[in-house]
Amino acid sequence: MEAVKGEVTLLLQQMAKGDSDAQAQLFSLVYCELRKLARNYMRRERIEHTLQPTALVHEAFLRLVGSPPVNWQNRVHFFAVTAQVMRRILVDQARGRLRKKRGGNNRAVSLDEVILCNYENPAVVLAIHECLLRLAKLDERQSRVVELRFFGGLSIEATAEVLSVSPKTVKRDWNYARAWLYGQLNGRVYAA
Amino acid sequence: MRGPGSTGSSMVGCMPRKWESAQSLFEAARQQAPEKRVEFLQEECSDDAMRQEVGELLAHAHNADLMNFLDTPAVGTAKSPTVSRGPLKSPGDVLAKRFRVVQFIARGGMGEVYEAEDLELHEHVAIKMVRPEIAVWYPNCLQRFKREVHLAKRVTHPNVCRVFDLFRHSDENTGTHDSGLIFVSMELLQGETLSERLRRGPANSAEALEIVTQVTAALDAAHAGGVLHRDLKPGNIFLVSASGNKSSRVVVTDFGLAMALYEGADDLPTPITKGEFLGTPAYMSPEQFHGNKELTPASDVYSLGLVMYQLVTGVRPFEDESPYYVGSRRFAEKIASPRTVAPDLHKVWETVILKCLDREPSRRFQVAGQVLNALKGDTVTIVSCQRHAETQLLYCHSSTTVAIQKWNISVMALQKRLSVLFRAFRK
Repeated sequence: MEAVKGEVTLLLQQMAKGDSDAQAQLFSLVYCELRKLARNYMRRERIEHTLQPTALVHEAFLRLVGSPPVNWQNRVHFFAVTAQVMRRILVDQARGRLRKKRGGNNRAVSLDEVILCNYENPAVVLAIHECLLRLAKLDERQSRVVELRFFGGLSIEATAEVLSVSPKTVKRDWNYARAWLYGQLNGRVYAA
Repeated sequence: MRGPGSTGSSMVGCMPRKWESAQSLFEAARQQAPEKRVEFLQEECSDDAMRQEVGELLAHAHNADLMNFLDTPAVGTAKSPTVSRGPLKSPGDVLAKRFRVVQFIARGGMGEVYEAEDLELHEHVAIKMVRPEIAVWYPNCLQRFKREVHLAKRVTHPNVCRVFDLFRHSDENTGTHDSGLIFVSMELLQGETLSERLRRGPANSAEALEIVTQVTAALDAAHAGGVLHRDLKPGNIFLVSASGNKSSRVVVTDFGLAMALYEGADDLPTPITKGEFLGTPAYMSPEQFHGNKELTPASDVYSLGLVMYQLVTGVRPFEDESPYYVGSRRFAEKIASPRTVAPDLHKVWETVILKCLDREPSRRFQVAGQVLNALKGDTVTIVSCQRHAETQLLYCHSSTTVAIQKWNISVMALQKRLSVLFRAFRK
């Protein structure tokens, strides 16, 4: 376990310098770890936990990066990877749930459901995900900002650190992307 | 397995320059007053299509703001657990063969809080359990926690929640390899926390002053006993319900305890917030955040400043805290004066609050009582505490407290001098 922790810290530092291979490796590591932890939770049914993704991410963090002292920039980058992983996991989960319902085609998502944060409805997560994919084609950084904030829960400052831009830029991106997404989701129908 | 999301910015089918122009226009228009935006767009943009698109986006932005669109992250917060489970213990359960659970009260920073009956002494107490997973993940925390309980037990003051004792309960049914549940018995309080009170809006000056009076008294009492709080926040400030003609009592709880649980092996605090495993305590001082071992009462004064800010304005200086802690703007940026939110706030409050919130610990009030004096208009104190320390209390993690009365030397020099002494002493 110790060897892995050191490796992850190194990868985080490389990722911070813009190494996309490091980022890819991290994605795999974090993804595996989170999937494993989620399975363990289901199996052991630890009743003292409320099964929150934040708790899972924390455990993954402890296992992969370790306990303090941890450079806070490493934390930021770790959670940036987590954002991508969580997006992947939530989207897969949503697709799985929709498939279990009747075929799940053309499930309409109303804007209200998105606004009410009805993440229990898998179509909501998918709708946002698909919109983000379209946004990424227009402006990749904006899509990253939304991914980090919405799937990762990162603050403006943390997002700025991850993307190596100023918080002002992040705010501008966030405002614009939000407005654009709102328009996209308004009254549209999304296939599963 | 698919790799990270570099979807490629090929921008096929879109005109990147138009996208960027739209953005600049959008941003510029947003700076205008809402009623001037249409006019602004007409002046600045000759392209009809773009003008319409940006106009629509502005409308969407407005609605998105109103609706807090996408403000709640998909990964869940303390408010929306994916799966929620009931409390660990039920009424009637007996813990450590001595305490019978009466009812579940709340989920707190350390774990769950219950009302229980002490079967030996026939009185009702509060039981705070330490979350089992904390003991598992942070093996050294129990040692530290016990030391804090030991310190906390010694502080007796009407505004400090009494800590009685620490117990261990072994439950054959847990089915884990935990060495049982750890819990602390303490004074049972009836009423509401300050955070619950603040949901109804800010306090007026009289109420705020009363609360600050009692909280600073609590802080001074604890500091004199060698105990720092390190996690002072509205959730730890209890407003005991007044009965009859008695004025209400304010009690500060969890001195040193909550933070002790989260500290790692190296004595460096891990920024973790209550309820979530991740997050900075929103009231943590900059030196705590940066892992400074030499914390002083001024650190609690900083947290007090944030509490006061919220007390008089109803809001925190920066609301942009996410469920995942990654950093806090209030350390990097200057905190806006509370008068920007509450213009009627008396200037004294503004001055005092901002002084508490100075990023540099030595520039804050060094003693909680000075905060109160300053609020009451003792302007001499505001100037003098920058240069002289009337009472200087020094803290370190060995349980030694040194109180120096009325030394006429500067606070910084004093701290340096004594910390050298203490380092030698500790070896």
